[in-house]
Amino acid sequence: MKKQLNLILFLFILITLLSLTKIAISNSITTNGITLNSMQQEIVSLNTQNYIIRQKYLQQASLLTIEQKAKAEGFTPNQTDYFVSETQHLASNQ
Amino acid sequence: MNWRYRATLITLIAFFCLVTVRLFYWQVVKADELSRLGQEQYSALINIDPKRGEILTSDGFPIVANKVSYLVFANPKEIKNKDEASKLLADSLQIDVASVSAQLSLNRFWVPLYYNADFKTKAQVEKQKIDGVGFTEQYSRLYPEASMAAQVVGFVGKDEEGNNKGYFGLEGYYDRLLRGKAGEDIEIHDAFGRPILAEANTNTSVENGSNLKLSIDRAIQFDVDQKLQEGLIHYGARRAMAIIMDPKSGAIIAMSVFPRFDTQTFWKYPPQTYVNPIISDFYEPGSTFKSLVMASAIDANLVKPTTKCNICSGPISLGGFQIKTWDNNYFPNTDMTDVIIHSDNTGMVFVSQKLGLNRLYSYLNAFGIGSPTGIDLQGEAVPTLRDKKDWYPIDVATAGFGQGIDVTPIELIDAFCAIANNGVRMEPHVVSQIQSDNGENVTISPKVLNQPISASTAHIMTEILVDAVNKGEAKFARLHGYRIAGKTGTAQIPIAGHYDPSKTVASFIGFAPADNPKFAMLIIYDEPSSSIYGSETAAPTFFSIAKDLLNYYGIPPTVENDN
Repeated sequence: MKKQLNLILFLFILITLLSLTKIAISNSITTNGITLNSMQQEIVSLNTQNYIIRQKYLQQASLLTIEQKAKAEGFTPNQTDYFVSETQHLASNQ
Repeated sequence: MNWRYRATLITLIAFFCLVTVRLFYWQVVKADELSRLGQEQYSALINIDPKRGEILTSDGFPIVANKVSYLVFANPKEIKNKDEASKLLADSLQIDVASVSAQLSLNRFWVPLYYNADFKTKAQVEKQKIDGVGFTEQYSRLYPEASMAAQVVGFVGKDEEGNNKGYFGLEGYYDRLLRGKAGEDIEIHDAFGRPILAEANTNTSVENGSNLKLSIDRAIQFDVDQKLQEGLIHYGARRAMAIIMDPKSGAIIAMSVFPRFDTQTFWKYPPQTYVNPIISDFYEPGSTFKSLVMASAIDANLVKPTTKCNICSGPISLGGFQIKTWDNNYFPNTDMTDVIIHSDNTGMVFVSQKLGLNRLYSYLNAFGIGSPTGIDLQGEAVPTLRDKKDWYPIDVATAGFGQGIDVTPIELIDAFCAIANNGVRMEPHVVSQIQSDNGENVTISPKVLNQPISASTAHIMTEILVDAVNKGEAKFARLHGYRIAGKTGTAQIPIAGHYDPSKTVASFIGFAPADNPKFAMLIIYDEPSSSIYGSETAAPTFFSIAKDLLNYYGIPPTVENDN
């Protein structure tokens, strides 16, 4: 009789433990789903921001913009040319 | 066994048979449909659009990139006060109120309101907090250098099914590579639509389009664009074209056409501006063609630079026509170098008559005249070289000075580059490398087409062309200290069976440095009004750009006391 009771008790504890494990895993999956969802939204948002920043960078780095800025700063095209016909060993006498 | 027991047994067996049949129906016959219905409840099929490849100049800077833009749409059934919504939306999107109002009055669940809205516009619309208005993120083309090399790049429009498709130039020629391959992804989600981690996620991977790295040098292209636009205005020309090519590899370093279209708003421009005339338009090249005919005669050992012309003392009558020099000055017993220096038409008649139809025809074929060059741009058109039987003696004579024969600018510069490259003709190309999304890079190797003339002929012709620059009509514009080979061209335009003397195609073709060419360049002005001559229009532009190029490449002057 005592053996049977122990078996029933053991099964009861086992079922309870398994149920709790199942609840914990389900909860974890749901939490992961929410985290995953927010991470995916973050990725999309960061990608969009990346594109917008790159767009601004490309526009700033374009020769058109650089030329406009240079003109605004008062730069003018160089009229004199300087040529070096041979390799100059600038550090040779140092 | 009594009847009750039997009846019960039969009923039970019949019941089990029914259950089995029903199970078979649901689990076998309807299995796929149920499986699909089940999947739809916990998963979603997402189409993943590939990103279109970028187009980079030789320094790796994208002249065509992608930007995030938004399609603004609305569900008219969710919008209560349509008049007010129309006004707010029109104000934010800066479009006509009537067009928004017309869209919102439609009896539909989804209507597009605005394509390619930028981030700021989207933020402005969001600020209005109008129910039933939404956004779809999409990618569109970004041109950081505005319309640089517009006709080379082409543009992206839509095909019959509304998908992106490249038209003209590189976008058209390399559309399949740039487009990539769309993918699909199955995402498992929970009852609230939130994605969950599951191994059932499957996807057919998306393949983004490949990037194209060009041989076009951004700094040179920028300089050429500026100089050519200045020239177009200064000389009052209808159109201006410039092409710079590396004669040793066939790589196109710059290609510019004015007027051009704005790549970002191409639909606002007439379709004829989309076409790249450098590869598609035919013209009579005039005196620039003399260098090819002279090189042919030298290669065939028919003339030497010192050979005297015995028919150059006055106008030549042929087939009822009279052939004169461009300035009506004649040089009796002039030699072949002087024929090129003075751009003497009668001297070139002498040369082409020496060549004769058969040899002239075969040399023109060898130079690629009448055949496509194979350049990797959409829309290359080639005027065919008419059959030999259709040539009259007058045609042979006029072909010597580039009239009565049609070429495209790319055809001419490609043939001319053979002189600069020891007689070897290369295939012109714009793309130098294809960079696929998976990191594989394919480098396009230079391709030799043929050798129309020998290396020694090329050297002789180069010397003649250097003399043409130093002593010819354009000597006032030349660069001192450098040996540059070149030839002017002033071709009359045939209109309704005759040549209009007031309308010309003014051009200059050349390469530098003459002894080890780094670049060859062709400048063309269509119908310049300030002067009809190539020496007074195209030549100054040529030398102005050449000066910048020699500086840019760090090539020092080689000729001392060159005044």
